[in-house]
Amino acid sequence: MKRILFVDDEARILGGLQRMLRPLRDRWDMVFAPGGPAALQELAHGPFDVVVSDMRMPEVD
Amino acid sequence: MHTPTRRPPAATAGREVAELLVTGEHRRPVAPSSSVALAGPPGVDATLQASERRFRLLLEHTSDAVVILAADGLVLELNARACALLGVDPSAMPDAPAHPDARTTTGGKDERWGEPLRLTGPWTAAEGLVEGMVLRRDGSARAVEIRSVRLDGGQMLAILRDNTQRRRQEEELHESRASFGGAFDHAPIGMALVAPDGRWLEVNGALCAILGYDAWELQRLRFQDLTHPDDLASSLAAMEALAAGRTDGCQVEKRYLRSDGGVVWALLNASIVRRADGEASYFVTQIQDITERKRTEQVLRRQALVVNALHDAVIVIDYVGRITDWNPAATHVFGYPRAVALGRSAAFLLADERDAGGEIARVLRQAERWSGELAFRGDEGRTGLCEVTVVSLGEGDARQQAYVVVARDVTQRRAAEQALRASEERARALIEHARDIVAVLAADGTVLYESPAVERVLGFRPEEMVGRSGYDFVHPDDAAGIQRRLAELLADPGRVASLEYRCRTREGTWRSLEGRAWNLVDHEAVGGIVMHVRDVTEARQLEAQLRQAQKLEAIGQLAAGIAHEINTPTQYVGDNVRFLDGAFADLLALLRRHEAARRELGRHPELAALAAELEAAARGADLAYLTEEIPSALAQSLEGVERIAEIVRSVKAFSHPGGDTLSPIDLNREIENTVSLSRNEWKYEADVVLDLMPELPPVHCLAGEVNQVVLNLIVNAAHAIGDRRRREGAAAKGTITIRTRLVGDHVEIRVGDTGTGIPAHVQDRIFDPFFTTKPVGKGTGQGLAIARTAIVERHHGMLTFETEAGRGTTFVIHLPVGGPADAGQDVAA
Repeated sequence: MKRILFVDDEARILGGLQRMLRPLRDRWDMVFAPGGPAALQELAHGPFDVVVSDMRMPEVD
Repeated sequence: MHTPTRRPPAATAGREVAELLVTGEHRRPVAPSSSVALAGPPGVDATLQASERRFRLLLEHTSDAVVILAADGLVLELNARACALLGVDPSAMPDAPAHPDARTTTGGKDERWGEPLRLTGPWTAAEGLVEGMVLRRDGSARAVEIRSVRLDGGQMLAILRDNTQRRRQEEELHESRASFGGAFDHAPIGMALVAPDGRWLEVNGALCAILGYDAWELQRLRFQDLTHPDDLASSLAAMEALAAGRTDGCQVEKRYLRSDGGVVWALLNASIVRRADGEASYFVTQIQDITERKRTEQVLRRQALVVNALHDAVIVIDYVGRITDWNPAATHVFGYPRAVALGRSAAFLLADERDAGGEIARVLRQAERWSGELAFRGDEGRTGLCEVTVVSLGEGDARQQAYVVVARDVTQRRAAEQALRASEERARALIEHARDIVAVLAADGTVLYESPAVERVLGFRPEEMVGRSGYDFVHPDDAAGIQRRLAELLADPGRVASLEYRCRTREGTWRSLEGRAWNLVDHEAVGGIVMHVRDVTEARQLEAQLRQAQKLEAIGQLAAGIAHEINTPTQYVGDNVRFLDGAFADLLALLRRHEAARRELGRHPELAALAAELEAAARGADLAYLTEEIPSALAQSLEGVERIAEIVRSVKAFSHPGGDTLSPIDLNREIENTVSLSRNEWKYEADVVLDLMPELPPVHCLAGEVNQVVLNLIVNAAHAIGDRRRREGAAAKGTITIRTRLVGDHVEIRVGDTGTGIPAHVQDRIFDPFFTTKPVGKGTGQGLAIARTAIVERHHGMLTFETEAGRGTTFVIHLPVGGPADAGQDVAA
């Protein structure tokens, strides 16, 4: 199963994505990171196949 | 009137005038010796003869006529002189008889000799001297003086003296004295005979009239008594010199005092008559009343003073134009002293060649005066201009003709006038040609003056505004402001107020005017409030358009940001809705299973109550409806979110045109995008029909600029359709048709509308910057200008239009597929 990392500093956007993609939870291993630092942490824990990230985020971009 | 008294003429008093008649003929006298042949002593004879001889000699040689007469007049003896006097020719005498007595004894006519000579007349018996007239035989007469002496025997000796000459002389003297007396009495000038001591001896009527005294009054006075005290000394001196013989005659002007106290000026001419011994006998004087002349002289003197004091040059010229008089002012004006000018022809003063003199003379033949301006040349080259008046003095015949020329040097004045006129002209020209309006208002707002520029700006001629209230022309909304300003100026005259207001034009439109006003109410030449304003209508419009453009630009700048902001919530709303949609589907599936179970329950009577309860609950929750509607609601929400997202994408696409770099662009997509974006601009007025060529190749261009152009064209199309709909009152919407085609190596985009069309008179101008037919705020007028710049200059394409008034317009864009560098020869610059 593919691992996909979603990154967005907007919580609502992240939540919306998460809900929207729920039906696909059996196809992809999705991780939702609320911002750059969190994303880096997740990446440190293990590799991902795809990273879908918002651009122009505060802190780490 | 006085009658002069004189002694009567010298008709001798006491003398009678006798008339003697000569009749008969004279006989040759008897020889002297025979007349005395009387006897007597011899010695006595000799003495007697001697005496007789002496007597004869005396008779013959005396110059008097001697006649011896008998008492009856018979002439006994007469001498040659008597013959002549009596008219008797001695040579024609017959002989007398021998003896005188012989005659008397016959006592009558002698036949041979006829009547004897008689001298008859009323002889006076007494001796004496008588004046008489002798009437001679031939009818002529002689005046005589007769002295008669009685002789012995009744005979008479008569000595006759021819008086004719003397009588004639006396008469002549008499006449001459009479005529002299007449001349003296009736002379028109005063005449007098004056004694050496000054007494008036004789005076004539004229002198009496001059002095105001009767003749007898004057004869009691001396001339000194009537002479004016100031002239007394000189009068006396003159008379004295005359009397002394130092002068032959004298002429003096002096004053006399009249009887009524008045003073009369007289010209006195005096000469002296002397006695035989040289002593002064009397003065003969002539006195002329020259009072008038003196008065005239005084007037002339005064006039001369005036003429000499005048500022104007006064020149008198004669009939050929020679200068005969020249006043000091003439010297001042022309520079020539009097001595130089006199005698010269006045023409030498004229500066130009034309025959001014001739012209003037011609005019003066008809009119009293000639007036005009003449250029003069004076001494030392000075030149100038004079106002000249020439008056004919019209004294007598042509040769007496004289003219008075009065000249005023107006050189300075003319120069000053010209300078002033030039200055006024300049001022007027400046005001009249100024682009700005200068106006003057009274304190109450009445228009006192409008400069000519007002016609160009407002269409009113100045005279249409003067006298009316300025408020008639000012926009009602601006009137209060103007009033306030004027009040401020009146209260504080030193201020300068700024004005801005709208003013009505003749056609009924409004123009914005802006300027300054200041208070010159107390200024003599102005007397009002001066306004200096300029038409800023276009400028204001441009400002409004610019503000609009800036607003739009600002919005444009914000658009990207706005789009992004909208995007964020749009995104999660969309995501959530999608989630809900899926989630609801899942729940619905579950609900169906529960429904099935409930139906199953319903088959079991002991569970029927439960089943019924469940059913009731389902009904209560309006399950059927929810089942229907929730999915719809979710689907529509999603659509809405999609729509928002689409708009946001379009806005973003529009706001980020890709800058100055050319890139291959799918024009069809861009067009669709633009249409979508501009929906609000066209959806009320028209429907958009897209006829886009499929597989249209990408075009190398600047997407943003092309989009801008297409947007402008769509907006214009919508407005045109809207105008037509309003004009025609049409309810149906128009149509905007957008087509794309590949034409050779160009892509053609056509944006057509069913609007008003472009009127012929405007077609040349639609691409002009700032040209717009839209009201202020509805368009910057820049759309087509920018479009043309973009298409033609930046892309080397073409932008044209086809139009039909009342039907619609189609704008046509041609873009080279390969971009501006690839344009080739198809491009019209």
